[in-house]
Amino acid sequence: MRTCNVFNIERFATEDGHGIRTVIFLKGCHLKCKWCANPESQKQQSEILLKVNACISCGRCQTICREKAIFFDSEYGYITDSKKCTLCMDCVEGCYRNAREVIGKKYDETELLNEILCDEKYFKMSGGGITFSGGEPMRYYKLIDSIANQMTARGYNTLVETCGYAPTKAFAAIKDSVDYIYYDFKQFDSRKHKELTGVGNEKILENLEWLCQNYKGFLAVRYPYIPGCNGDQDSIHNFFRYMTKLQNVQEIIFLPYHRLGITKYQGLGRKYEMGELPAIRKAELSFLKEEAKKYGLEIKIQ
Amino acid sequence: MKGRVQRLRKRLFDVEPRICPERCVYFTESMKKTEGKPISLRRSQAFYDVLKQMTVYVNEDELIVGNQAQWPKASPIYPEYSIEWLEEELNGKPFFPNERPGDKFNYSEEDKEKILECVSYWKGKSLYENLRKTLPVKINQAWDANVIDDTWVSAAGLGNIIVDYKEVLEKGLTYVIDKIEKQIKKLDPKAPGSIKKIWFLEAALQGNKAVVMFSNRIADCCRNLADKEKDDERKKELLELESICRNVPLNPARNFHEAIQSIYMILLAIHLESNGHAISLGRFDQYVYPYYKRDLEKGIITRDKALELIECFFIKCNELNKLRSWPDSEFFLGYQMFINLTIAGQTQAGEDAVNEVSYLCVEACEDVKLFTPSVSVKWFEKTDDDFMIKALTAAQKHQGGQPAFYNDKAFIRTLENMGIAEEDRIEWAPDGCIEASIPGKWDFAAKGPWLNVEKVLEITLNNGKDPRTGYQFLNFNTDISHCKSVREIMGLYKQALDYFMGLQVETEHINDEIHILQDINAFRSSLVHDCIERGLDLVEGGSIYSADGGPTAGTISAGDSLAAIEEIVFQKKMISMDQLLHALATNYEDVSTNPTGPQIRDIMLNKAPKFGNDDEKADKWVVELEEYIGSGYRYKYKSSKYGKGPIPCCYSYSQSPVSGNIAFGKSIGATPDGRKKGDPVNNGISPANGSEKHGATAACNSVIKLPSIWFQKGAIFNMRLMKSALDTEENKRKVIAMIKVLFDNYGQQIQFNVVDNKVLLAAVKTPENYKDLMVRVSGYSALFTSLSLDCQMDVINRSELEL
Repeated sequence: MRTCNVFNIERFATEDGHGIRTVIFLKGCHLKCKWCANPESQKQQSEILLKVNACISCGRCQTICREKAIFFDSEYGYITDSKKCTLCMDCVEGCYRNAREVIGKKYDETELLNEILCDEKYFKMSGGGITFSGGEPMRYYKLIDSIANQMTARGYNTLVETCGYAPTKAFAAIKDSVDYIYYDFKQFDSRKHKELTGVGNEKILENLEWLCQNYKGFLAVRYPYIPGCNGDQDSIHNFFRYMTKLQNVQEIIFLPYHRLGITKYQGLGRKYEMGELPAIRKAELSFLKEEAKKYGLEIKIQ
Repeated sequence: MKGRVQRLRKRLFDVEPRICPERCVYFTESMKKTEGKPISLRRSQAFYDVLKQMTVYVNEDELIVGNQAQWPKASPIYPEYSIEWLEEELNGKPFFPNERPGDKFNYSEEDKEKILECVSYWKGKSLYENLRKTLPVKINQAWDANVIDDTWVSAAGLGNIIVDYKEVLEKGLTYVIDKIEKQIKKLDPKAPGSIKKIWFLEAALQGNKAVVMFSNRIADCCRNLADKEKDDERKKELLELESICRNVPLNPARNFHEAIQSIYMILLAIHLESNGHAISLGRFDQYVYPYYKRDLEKGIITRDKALELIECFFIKCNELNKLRSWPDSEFFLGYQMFINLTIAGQTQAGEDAVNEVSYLCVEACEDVKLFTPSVSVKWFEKTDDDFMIKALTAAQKHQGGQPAFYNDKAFIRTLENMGIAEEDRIEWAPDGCIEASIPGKWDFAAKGPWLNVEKVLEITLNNGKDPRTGYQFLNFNTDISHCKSVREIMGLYKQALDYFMGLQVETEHINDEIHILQDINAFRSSLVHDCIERGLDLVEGGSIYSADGGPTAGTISAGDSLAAIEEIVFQKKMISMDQLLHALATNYEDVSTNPTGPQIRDIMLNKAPKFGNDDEKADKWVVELEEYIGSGYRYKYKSSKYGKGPIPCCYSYSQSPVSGNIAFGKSIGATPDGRKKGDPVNNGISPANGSEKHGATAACNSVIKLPSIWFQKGAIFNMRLMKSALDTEENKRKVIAMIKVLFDNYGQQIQFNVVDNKVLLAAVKTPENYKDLMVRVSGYSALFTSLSLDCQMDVINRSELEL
């Protein structure tokens, strides 16, 4: 049976998409965006995250750990070295404060479906469904397709949030079963894209264009607005110009930069690459609506 | 909000609550004169004397008139119920009323002297004193140990009544008076048992006449003011008010303004007859709408004018006040009067009952942002979604949990189980906090001692003894430390629950008998069916329906405790039963053990399942407890009125503890759910503070499992919602969908605490109480308390901007 590595399941999600939704966050992503708000989503394999606020530095975890994988980092606290960690869970279970969490739990399709169906009544009443997010969920496209079909049969919808970096056949496989695709667009200039995310954007643009031609569901393009990365005039105008060429994009959404991922970087013992860059408020981006109009585009800021 | 309403509202906030001696003095003088006569007649005479002599006034701008005391928000004194505490508190023990930690009342030295003079007469006569003298030792011990507590309905009057406002509006008190007179004529004084009934009916007659006289006194006051008034507009208003107060409540209301004034006068009079709280209004939108519609058609009122009148009425409801003893205040903090006003629901034809007055009430609630009256929306399957959106918008703006939402389907099922007639079930209305009543047909929607459910568990875990007072209440066959499973502990716990539930019932039988001797309130009784026909006061069994039951607190916490013992002691075996019992006895503070006390507390808090997360491991214990307590009340016990006329005269389960969960928590030692000594227990059926971690739907799924069929007296479900969750209409529709799922599955009630920045700042300071706050941004979600301080401040700034 197909399995997937889930790092979070969020119920009563109301921010993206129709109705009440359950979001399944799947672990692993080819991109390493500098601003990523879910750094624990990047690695494919499971890892231990320290919840900095809950930790009282009692050091019990270090004593319990048989692999000597936990080291004390003077900046972050009791961090697990994932190279040594065998995911035995002793430190997670042995931390009385619940300050250690395993990020990434294996689910097979049945288990995942059971989890999803806990809120079935709410999907039904609200016209909601499920959202696959990540990480990059498209690496699990077969599982997504299968679950999405089961959702359709029960009358609920499925949404996929993707960065687009996947083989085109993956999109081909889900195009009929998934109702909504929220497609991220980070930077038009491929060289810059590589600098910011670790990969060029050729495949991403190719897939987006393919979807515009072949996808019959609801397609939205989302642009995380990150000052210093893609917030300059050129980046924005290139993006808008590109959007004017695409057919069938039904919504363009800007996501203002936020810093809420910081604590998770700390908990993984990783440096936050955005430094002190202040968060952006929705209102600060309203000028983009005017800019978009010049291209005949309508955008949303979320 | 119009200028007038704004001014009235401001004045309401400008005046400080205080104590008014007038009722105390006039009532005492009257009672001195009538010693030796039957209590019903003495009380109605005193009621008449108070209404005849007390100060009346009409304030600037008022359109709804009448006063309870010499000043707005001043509390009269009701010495007939209890005076020991009053004397002590006026002398500073434990606090002077104006120096209490909460619910302060000012007073002048002169007024204090007047009250103390009356107090000397009431020594040895007050109801509370007589009850405590009469109760057996075991009950007084349970009361002193804070396992049960009947202060609220013995140191003060019985309340939780909804009289037949509809009848008063349609037929006037003149109809009631006529009915009483006819009934007196029917009775043959020579027939056995008739005399006491005749006394009661004569008292009811005098009570009704007293209220008519009082309304005329206010009319006189309006007239005097009008004569002096220079402003033509106001003069006209005052003259109109004079005419209104002369006509109602004696006669049927002729228009919308008269209807509202008539309702207020009745509400006021009931508050002067006795000080039982939760004197509620029933289905206000239903019985007021015909007057609105008629006036609108005749062109004598506009929608705005009607809104203004409703807002004036809401503000006037906030002028009523009640001084409780300090210990009793701790159970009801916030100057609560619990005047509940119900809107929406269904018509007798099974159609959506929402009308324009329902909308006006929601608007008024949102506009004046007051806590009284508590506006309650009855939802049923045909309730219009657009109305629900309006109501949610009001809840978002009100931020104090109003309007609250009630499920017709669940309450009607409960009432059906209790034998309430079909046509009456539909008319049910929440009274007070949340108790279901049938307006005009039910006596006291809640009455009886509180039960401290988690305290009973503490006593169980201490082999039947209360560690705080040393009272040995029960002796079990087994020692608790020998128990090999939670099943065994549960068995002992049920024995203890039986014992204390039995004491609750016994207490209330005794309390009823004392009230019958000392506390007959014929006026209010005459407005509830069939008191007149039966010649009985409510407390004697005059009403058509009746069921007792006082609030309980801590069932969820107790269930969490059992789940924690099962998981940690018996399944994971992380600590032994002896280790746990030692940690509890030492309040999780003994650091010489391994694991240490604080570590054991962390284990019980963090490593055990908790109710509210859709987790069967915790939910099953809560469900079993609720089933046991709820069905036990329903079928094992009878109230004192059984066989006297009312049905069903059982007990029923209430989980609406107001602030009783805090007051009761103070006397409970450390408990296995990780709670420390003195901390509050959970509130209502809401998950314990900070234990809900999987969001709103998971909490609803846990609540859905509870046997709400036993909850006639309601169970409060408080849910925190971030402001953003109600931001857009689309988001409101999602919340409505959630409410519908909850209600479709017999969830009974829900109210929302909208999380604003004030709450977020509190969460920064005391994260342990706010573990459930979820921050949601596109593609990202996290518990608020897990964020670093600068991120938390970011969230706060963000939401500030998006208000």
